[in-house]
Amino acid sequence: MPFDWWTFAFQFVNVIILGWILARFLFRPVAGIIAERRAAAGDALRKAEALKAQSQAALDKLEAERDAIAQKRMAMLEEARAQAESQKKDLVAQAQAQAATIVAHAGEDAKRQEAEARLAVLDDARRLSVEITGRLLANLPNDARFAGYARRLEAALSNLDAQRRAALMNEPDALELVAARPLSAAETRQARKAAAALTGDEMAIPIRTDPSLLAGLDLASPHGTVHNSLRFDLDRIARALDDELRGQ
Amino acid sequence: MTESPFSAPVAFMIGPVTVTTTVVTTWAIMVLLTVLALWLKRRLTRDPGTAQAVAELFVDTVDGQIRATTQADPAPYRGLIGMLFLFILVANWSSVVPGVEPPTAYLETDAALALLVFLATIVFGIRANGPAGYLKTFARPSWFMIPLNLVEQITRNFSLMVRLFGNIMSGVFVIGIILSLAGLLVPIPLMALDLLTGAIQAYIFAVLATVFIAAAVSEGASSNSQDEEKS
Repeated sequence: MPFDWWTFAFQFVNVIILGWILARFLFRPVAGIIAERRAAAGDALRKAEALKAQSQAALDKLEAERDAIAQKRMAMLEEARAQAESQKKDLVAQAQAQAATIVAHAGEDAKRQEAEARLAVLDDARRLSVEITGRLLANLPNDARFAGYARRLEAALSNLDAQRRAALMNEPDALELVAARPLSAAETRQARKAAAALTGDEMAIPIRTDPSLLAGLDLASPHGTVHNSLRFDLDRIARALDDELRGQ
Repeated sequence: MTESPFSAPVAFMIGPVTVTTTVVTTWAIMVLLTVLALWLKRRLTRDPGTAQAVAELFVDTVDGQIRATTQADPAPYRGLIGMLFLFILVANWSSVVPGVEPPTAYLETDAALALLVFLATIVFGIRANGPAGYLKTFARPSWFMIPLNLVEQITRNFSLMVRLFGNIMSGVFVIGIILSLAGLLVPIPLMALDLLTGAIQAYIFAVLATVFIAAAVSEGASSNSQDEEKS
């Protein structure tokens, strides 16, 4: 079998050169670009991991902030609820106090109105009693309006203390007798005789007629009056009843 | 006198130096691969096109094959193994070009490739283990194996050469004979089979070269570890 050494030598050199060329211009650059892409992919993966971790951290932070906001919201709600509860209690207490005040005022008003009503009724009763008494006395003999009152006046004057007596007697000329109806001469004498219990002597004291007395005989002076009439008695009874009602 | 079918035709002479068509075809293949490499190199981007994707797939496959065989970084061996596969593949498939006979169908080319593998085995073995360490690999598993290991270094590369030569040369011969006997279209299935054979032979040659280099690299490492265990 022939063997051409020149061809062998050429081929040996050729494959060495081809190996160098391919290694230099093909395999090394291609392997380099593969390694570069692999490194870039690794970098991208690492960056993605870092971004993922960063986003996870941001997400955790957001969730923590959201939780904090929720807790703050709950705290604010709780505080607002507590404030509302406190305000509600205050308002209820104020309302209760106002209601109590209103009730108290209403009670007082009711009592006052009741007292006023009673006084009004009493006043009406007094007027009615005066009216009834007047009408009843109108049906009685004229003597009923005077009989007995001269002796009552005399007794009353006799029982006056010295100070009252001195006051009445300060101006003796100003004294006057007040009767419920015009008096007869005998009744006038009885009246002036009764007044003598004050003056000492039977004086010609003028006699004035006042039908509002209903019945009786008063001794009046600028410094006071000795009441001795049915009207005064009725008024006194009415005042006593009035005091009694006011005292309840 | 009839010229031997095993001898390549002379293309031209440079003084006493004969340049055969095998060498000219090899130069053409070199130019083709160089142009292709330069074109591809200029187009390399991070966003690969089809050609770059194919090139990356090829490089990645070669790296994977080397890594699986040597259990080491494929970078030092990528150029040799990749060149062997690519050159043998293109050379084998050059038979499809009318009037071109594949350079690997001639013994000189296969011998040059085998010699390159032989020398590469020695260089990588010495680089990995040092001269003494590499020489110690011949004494494994015992000193009595030194002659056999030395013969094995020759014979396995010889078989590498003869295997490639026999397969490619026989394919060319068969196609030539059938073409002369049957006509134009009959050899086409055989040519397709020849392409498959060419690819397989390129793969076998590259894989065996990787195995030889891996053996030279790893045997030294394992013998060193054994020496350390003995000491």
